[in-house]
Amino acid sequence: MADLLLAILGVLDSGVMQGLVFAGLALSVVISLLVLDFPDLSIEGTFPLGAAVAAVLLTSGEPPVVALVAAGVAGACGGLLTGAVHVRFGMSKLLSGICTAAIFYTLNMWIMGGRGNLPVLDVGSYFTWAEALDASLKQRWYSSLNAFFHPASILAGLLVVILLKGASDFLLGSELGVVLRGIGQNEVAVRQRGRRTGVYKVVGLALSNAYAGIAGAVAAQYQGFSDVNMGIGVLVLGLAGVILGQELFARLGISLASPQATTLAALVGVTLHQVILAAALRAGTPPTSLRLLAGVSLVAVMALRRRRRALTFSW
Amino acid sequence: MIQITDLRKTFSGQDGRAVAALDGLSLTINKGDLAVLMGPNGSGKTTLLRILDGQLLPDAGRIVWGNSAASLPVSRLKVSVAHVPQDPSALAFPEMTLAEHLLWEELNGRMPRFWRRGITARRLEKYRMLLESYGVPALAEALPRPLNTLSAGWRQIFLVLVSAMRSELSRDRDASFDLLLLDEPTSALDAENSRLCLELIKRLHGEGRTIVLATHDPEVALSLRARICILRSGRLVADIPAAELREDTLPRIRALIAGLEATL
Amino acid sequence: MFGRTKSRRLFNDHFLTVVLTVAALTCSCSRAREGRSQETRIPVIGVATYGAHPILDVIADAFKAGLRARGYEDGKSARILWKSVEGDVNLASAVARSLVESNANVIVSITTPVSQAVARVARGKVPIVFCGVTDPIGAGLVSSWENTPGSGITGTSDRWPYAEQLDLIKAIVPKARRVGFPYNAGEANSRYALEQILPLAAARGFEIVPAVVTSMADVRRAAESLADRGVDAIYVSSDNTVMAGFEAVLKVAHQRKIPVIVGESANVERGGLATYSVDYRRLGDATADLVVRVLKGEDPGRIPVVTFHGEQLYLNEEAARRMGVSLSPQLRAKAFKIYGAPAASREHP
Ligand SMILES: Nc1ncnc2c1ncn2[C@@H]1O[C@H](COP(=O)(O)OP(=O)(O)OP(=O)(O)O)[C@@H](O)[C@H]1O
Ligand SMILES: [Mg+2]
Repeated sequence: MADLLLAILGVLDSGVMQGLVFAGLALSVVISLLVLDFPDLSIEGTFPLGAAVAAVLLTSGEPPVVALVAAGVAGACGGLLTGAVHVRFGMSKLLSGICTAAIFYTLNMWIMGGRGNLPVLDVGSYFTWAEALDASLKQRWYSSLNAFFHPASILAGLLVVILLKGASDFLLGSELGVVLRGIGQNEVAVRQRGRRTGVYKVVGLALSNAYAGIAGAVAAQYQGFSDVNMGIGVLVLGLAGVILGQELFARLGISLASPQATTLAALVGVTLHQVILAAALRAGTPPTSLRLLAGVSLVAVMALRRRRRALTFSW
Repeated sequence: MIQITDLRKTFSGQDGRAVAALDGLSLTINKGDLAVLMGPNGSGKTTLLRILDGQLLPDAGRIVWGNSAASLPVSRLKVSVAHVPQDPSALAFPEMTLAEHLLWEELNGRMPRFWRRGITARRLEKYRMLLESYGVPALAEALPRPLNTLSAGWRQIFLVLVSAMRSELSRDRDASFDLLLLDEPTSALDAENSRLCLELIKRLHGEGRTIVLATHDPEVALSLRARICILRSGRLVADIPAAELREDTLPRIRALIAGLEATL
Repeated sequence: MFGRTKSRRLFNDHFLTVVLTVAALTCSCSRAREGRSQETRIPVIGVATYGAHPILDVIADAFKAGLRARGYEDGKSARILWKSVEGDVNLASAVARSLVESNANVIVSITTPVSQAVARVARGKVPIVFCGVTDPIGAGLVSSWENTPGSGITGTSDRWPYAEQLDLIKAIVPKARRVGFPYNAGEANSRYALEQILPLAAARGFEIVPAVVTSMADVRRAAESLADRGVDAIYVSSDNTVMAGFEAVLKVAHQRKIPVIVGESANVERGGLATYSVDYRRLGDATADLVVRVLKGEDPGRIPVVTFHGEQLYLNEEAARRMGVSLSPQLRAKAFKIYGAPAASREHP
């Protein structure tokens, strides 16, 4: 029984930690897809961009906070590019995102000094102090148990996520936020009100990609490497979290009628998704059944109750 | 005063045939007028409103606003035009709250600030009082609700109101011309809300607003005691001043719309 | 917050959800418990791998066979927890954690990014044996090929016998001057390979003509551009992207009669002309050897990283015919294995 409890706690600890690491991606998808109605593929380039920038800065001895901020700024530049290409040259939403992702694939390698992979293993990272604390906690309280928990690391991750969520809630609730959401809901109506939508789309995409960049920087520091291929699949990862959170909230009858609720749903969703993955990994008997298992458990969670009300993407 | 002379607008319909939506229309609307446009489907009412709004450019003709002989587009003029289209959802944000729609009017013509909260308690209170002053406490109650949770009729009334409140909400108060364009505002409303909407229009007219309204319902025109302009095939075929309206003009209006005037 | 009745309704509504979730977790974790109860008797070997890939499969089979040969049979005298990130490097940390929490006695990590994630999570907790990392120093896994005591990590590197492979080009096409090199600059292994090859090629009088691909779809175009630039041979190194689209390279090579020298034996079998190969079976076997040494209590930090030098020559007769080259009898005599010979002899009796 004690073992079982430890195993469940381990799965939760691992899943929650991963969820916090990828939280920035979920917020990024909330801004691009739910607010601006812009399925933005460029985060597949700006997520590794943030990782690359952070890895380079950390290896050259900059403090982790500088790395996180710089990754956010770099990500925002990626968003500016997508927005500019879309607005200026009238390229479709999907295509401009694909272009940015492609361009940053190469740029990321240049940033990492012509390499496709840069370790973040032996440099001081944002999580260093938290991990030291976790190790000493284990030493002190449960060194006899064959288990590892990371309350300090989770707190450290939570701190970043709270800051990110706070910033996004503030911006989405501001006057600018009202305009950004308006563009996502009815761009024609915004134009009819005599407002140019282009610049706002660019601003929104920059914001969204700044979040992706920060998520990349956090992921690089948590995972111990930055790799040009780490962007593959991150849009789906963020999207899965957002949708899962929305469905969950709709089922629980929690209103998504405010930016706070929507971002919270996304964060809960991405964490739940990672917990499911961690449980699937823990259980996974045939080694190549992870995705199958994760997919089936998602379906199972959702099938447990029929939807009570229509899914809303709004607030 | 808006002086419209020989306005023409041609669309290419299906199979490439040209459709003359406006075919040499001339009309003068004075400041403070309440003009009701009537006419069969496809007679050009919506097209005229959209041209006045600046959404469409005419192919030919002149529109003179006030005494400035300015040419189009309207957006360059110091004229405030509010337009509630036939399908009002086209210009609304279905998932935004009523309060946010009012905020949109407040943001008109200036940069939105990212450091200021959008819906504040002060603004909510202001909107509530404004809506109550227009005699629609039901809408004041619904301020925090998304627009798409309102019934179609209430949505229509709300959007008419929003357009009417535009000049009160936006900073742009020195607009020289306050024109309200309403395209079939009562077509989706039940009798009660229809009455409410007409009350509202009367009241706006009473406050000196210039209103051009398109409708198929002669009762609307009669109850508003408004000037009636009848369009057929893009041309003005009759212009009946409000003073000439009596109960027995109704059959004549019907006949004019149906094009049976000659047999009368 | 919720009123009493509301929370009650919520509870009723979601009772099933909660029960099933708990049941699923119990289920998943009781397996882990089973592992733990056996752990006192037999060692648990955790393996974190990248996913399905022809070479990785060869390594995996050889690794399991190597363990068996050394007395560690899965399910009997050892438990092998095999977990794959299925191509998504962002899952590597979670995989590493699940292995640590399953009380693995040693963790084997395959490919560079997976090894980095495992090192980040498990270093200092569980000894690590990496496998198939071309440049473990550049990847930050070890500080030198000799390794440092107490690092808690060692492994095998698939650094290829580049010098021998370049000599092979000279032996097959004596007048070769320009050698095409298609690669994905995004792959750490390929960058490393290129860095290693450039000086070696210069010393042999070759000019390396690189052609960058970013996805499998680019491979054919890259091969054609190399042919257009008049290369005398194409040299395909350890690049996963090019390997995935290798048939496209072969097609161009057949049409334009350009010999294709590859980096390892599996690709000679697939239709490449020749190679001096790292034997991936030996790599898997050596990894198994390291795992056993670590399980027996050796300090991984005292075990130098294992590298290989290519002794085995592989040739493909059929490929030679289609690429318009003749293989000299001396070369044939040296070959460890010649593919495509029986089919060719049946065609020309
Ligand atoms: N965008 C367009 N493209 C092509 N034809 C158009 C377009 N807009 C209007 N028309 C045509 O112009 C003519 C006038 O249309 P309009 O919408 O002004 O009529 P209306 O008087 O508002 O009719 P209704 O009473 O049905 O609203 C119609 O024949 C219509 O088919
Ligand atoms: Mg109309």
